[in-house]
Amino acid sequence: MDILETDSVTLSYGTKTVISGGYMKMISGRIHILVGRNGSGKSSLMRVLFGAQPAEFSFVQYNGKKLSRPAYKVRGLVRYLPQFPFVPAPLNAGTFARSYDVAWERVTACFPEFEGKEKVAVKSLSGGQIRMLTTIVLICSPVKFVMLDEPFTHIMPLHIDTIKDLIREEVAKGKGFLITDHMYDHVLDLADAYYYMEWGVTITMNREELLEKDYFLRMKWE
Amino acid sequence: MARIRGLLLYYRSFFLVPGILLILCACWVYHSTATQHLGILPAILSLKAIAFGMTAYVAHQRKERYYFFNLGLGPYLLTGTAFVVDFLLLFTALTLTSFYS
Repeated sequence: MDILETDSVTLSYGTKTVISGGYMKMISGRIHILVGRNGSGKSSLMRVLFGAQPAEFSFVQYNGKKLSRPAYKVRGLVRYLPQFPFVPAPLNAGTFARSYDVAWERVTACFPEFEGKEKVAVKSLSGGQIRMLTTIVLICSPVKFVMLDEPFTHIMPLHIDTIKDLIREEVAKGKGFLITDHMYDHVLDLADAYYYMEWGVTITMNREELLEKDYFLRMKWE
Repeated sequence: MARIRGLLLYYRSFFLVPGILLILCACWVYHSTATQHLGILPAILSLKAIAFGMTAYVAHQRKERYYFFNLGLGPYLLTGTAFVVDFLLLFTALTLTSFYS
């Protein structure tokens, strides 16, 4: 079992402290969800754990050993799906998938609509297709942990089920996931472990406590 | 291999067009002033350094940086490689220009 963990994260933008005492523990073969209101620091915490966001203080460890470099630089450890399109304009769909060690056949097996689009430039796909492509490729890429920042946004409800099935399939192979999304019914449906972010602090909860905590979550599930 | 392709893609995406434009201007100025011994090279290099710095800053703010982070490529490696390639192209172009001036 592999564990990627961050603790004591402190992050400020100017005078505003976004995260204070942030904590996150990812275990392989499990799906962790991180929920909270807009601006509560969910994406920032993900970026700190990934290593792309320098923080005033952060402590990231992998299997009990402190990482001396950003997590993204450790080969085969973690990948991060940001909430916006991030594929450089010159790339075509097939090259993008292969650059993350995902065969194009795997992409088309998950999502047959991409059949025949291997040579198509990513920028010529629609917004929803780009989101679907990037999400599928990152989920399938051969790493131990994947962090998905709002993976269900801009995606058709029918295709959300495809992504959820794919995540479950990869979890069964031992991959660990950290997911945040405002489409609570979908993320709660997937989760094994629950984190709630409020006032820059991460709180570990069980499902009942989480539903009790957040009015909007409760509305969805009552 | 994917990482090397990533480094080249980073250069191609953000530095190639401004680099070529500045190289063409630099070679034209260098060629025009070659017979007058004006010592234009330090000015060309200074302009190139400023242009490279600005391009690197803009490139670092782009959302595409997450593609390169996911390949395990950090900002220092990306910028350093772009710097080497960019100045290599500039010096090659200036050397070739000097043969015909």
